[in-house]
Amino acid sequence: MISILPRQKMARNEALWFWLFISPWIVGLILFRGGPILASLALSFTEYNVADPPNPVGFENYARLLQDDIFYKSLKVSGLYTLMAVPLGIVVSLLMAMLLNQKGVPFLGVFRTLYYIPALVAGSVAVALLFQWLLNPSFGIINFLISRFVGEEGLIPLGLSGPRWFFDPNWVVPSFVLMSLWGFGGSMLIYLAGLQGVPTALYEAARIDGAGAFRRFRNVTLPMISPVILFTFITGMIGSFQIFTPAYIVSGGVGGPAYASMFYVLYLYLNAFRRYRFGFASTQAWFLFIIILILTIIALRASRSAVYYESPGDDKMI
Amino acid sequence: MKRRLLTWLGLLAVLSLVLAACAAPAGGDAAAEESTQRELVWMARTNVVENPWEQDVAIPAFEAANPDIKINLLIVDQSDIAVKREAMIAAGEPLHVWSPNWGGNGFASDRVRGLLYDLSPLIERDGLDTSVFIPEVLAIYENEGRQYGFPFLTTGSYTFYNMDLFDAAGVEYPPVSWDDETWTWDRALAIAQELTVNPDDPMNATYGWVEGIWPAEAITWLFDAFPWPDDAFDTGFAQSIDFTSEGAVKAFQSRHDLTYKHKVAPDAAAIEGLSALGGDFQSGKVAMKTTGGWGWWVYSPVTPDVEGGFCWGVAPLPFGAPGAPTRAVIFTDPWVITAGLEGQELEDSWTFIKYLISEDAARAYMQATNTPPTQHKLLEEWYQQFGCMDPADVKDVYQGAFTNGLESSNHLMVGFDELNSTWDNLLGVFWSDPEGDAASLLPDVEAAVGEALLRIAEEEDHSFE
Repeated sequence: MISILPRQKMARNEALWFWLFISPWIVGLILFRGGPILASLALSFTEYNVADPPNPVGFENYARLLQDDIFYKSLKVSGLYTLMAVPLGIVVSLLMAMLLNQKGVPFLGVFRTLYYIPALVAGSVAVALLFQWLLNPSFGIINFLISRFVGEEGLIPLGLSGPRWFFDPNWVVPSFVLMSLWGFGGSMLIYLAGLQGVPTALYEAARIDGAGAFRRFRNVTLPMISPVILFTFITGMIGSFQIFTPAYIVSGGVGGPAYASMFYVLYLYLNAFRRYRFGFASTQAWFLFIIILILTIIALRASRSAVYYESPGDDKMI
Repeated sequence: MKRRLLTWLGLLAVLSLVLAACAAPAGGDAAAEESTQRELVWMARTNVVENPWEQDVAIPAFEAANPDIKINLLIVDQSDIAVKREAMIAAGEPLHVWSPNWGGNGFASDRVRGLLYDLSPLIERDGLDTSVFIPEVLAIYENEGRQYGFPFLTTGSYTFYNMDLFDAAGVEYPPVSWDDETWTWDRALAIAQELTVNPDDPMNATYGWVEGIWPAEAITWLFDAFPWPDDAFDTGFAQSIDFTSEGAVKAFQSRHDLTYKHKVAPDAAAIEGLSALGGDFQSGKVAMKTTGGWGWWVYSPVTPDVEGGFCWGVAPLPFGAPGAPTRAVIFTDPWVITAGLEGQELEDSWTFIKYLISEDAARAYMQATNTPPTQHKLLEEWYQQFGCMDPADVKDVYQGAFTNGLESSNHLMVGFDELNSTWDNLLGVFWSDPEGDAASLLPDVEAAVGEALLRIAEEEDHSFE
């Protein structure tokens, strides 16, 4: 006998399960993050060096932040990095996901695993050290290959030489962008799931209508995975503004040369833990929160016309 | 029925886990003894020569003599040690004995922030004989009549040179006397030019000179252009720094020229590469390196008996300007106790400090690490520890640094980390730019460091009157 629950009861049950499953995260957030978040807000209105009790200073930290040259430099570095790393990351991950979404390729599972593995250590100290070595202008393999291929005595003797990467202020951010591509596997996996969710019937219909590969990508694939692109864009943007470990390792915690690797969170860290300006650093943290919040709202608003949701209510999920 | 059985089984399993967790640990007497021990947290830096001494020599000896105290050794990378310390203090975690000069800011900042215990009353109470220390070295950690720490190593800055490369080229070694006025920047440069091979090919180069004096401002000392105001190292504060004097400009430009004009020194990228290969000087591809006296112990594993090893010697820093009175940066590290400790915790920390500075412990540390001692009695023994150099020469060159030097700004200037970050950032481009011009860059560096100095003084409510 099939028992049919009344609609209201079903909804209540569903809500109950929702809260049950999300409760570990919510409890964790309140217990372990809620306190520090509120504390940092309170500290942002104080002068606090750990050794002495916090001293209330009103909005002084906020005013000081707006007059701080290095704050603007760090904002520029993080902004530039985000502008370059996020779109490039999306393009590379999507391309790789499409390659690994082909049918009939032998050992596809092995390839998917292999391409995902680097993402497991992305953003780590090990990867930062690896790229510091790869991109060393004198001893690194990248510049060695450049000179072998297009150097004065290369295969194609164009007389080109590799840039000075982390030693040239103009190349510092692009070097970090290059390093960020190491972690494309995470987004690639999400795109792969998205691509596999596109109904094959749509491709067949497009094919019957005479659409070529590019048209099918533009008119079927892209709209169907646009919510996934939006998701990776927003999470990528948030992650990019929070980059810390590679900058700390590569620059030795200095943020040089000429503040070219003074990422926002590195500057925040230096103020808090190296210069004992915990109040000021808390102000920086809240500024970053506001910046990310505004950018996220803008991205969500701007995406309304560009992102296609199969179900009319889906946009409420984000 | 089945469900009830499962429930009971589940409850039983939980109960046994709880009981197991609450039960006394196995181990009987040893565990009971451990529980009666008082724990002392000793923070040390990651270091391949120091850590074995701490773990295998110092702690077992101390615990054997003081069975009621257990040392919890906390080893942290030098660059992160200040961060860890701040986090522990902020979290109220116990931290008893440590050294203030590793990572970030140094002694002056910690003193101003009230993190250091004044040891003077304890010294007086126990009638501790402090005359065993070299007086000038002990005085570094004394301020306004308060003794904040006991130095456990001290060294100047020197020219370390590869004797094998000198011998192979038939070049005479540099002198050992700091008063020898023939040992000039130009003479060092001439030697470097003679010993440099293939400078444009880093993979196959031998460089005559790696200039690595630290902190970066200290290169000016060689050129008689000491950049700090007279009382800066006493108070820990300054209103400005002088990077635009003729001597300072010449100092920075001369260092820059070693790489790009004279081509006797590797650039920053090549130094990074050589360092990753185990160290620039240790690679055997560098004839001379001017740097801090950590070379005494960092280079100590390099001997002719090991593969790729060689004989190395030590000379004074050269005169950039005739008669420059202060050339060497001196680095002295002390053990301190966290301020605010009292009762048994304080007594235990004090007992441990007294053990660390005891003659036997200091000797064991010196022998295990090759670090120069801070006690008169041990110095003569330390001079014997270098197989390739005559002990009398070691004595001359080592001691000369103290009559021709001053303690480092990273120990004596409040907020050093910000100062260091400021000049390193602005000079970083200069060091990598073949066309770099010190005269046009240094006014900006001077202004930026000046701003930082005023900001630091303001934060600490320091008055310059």
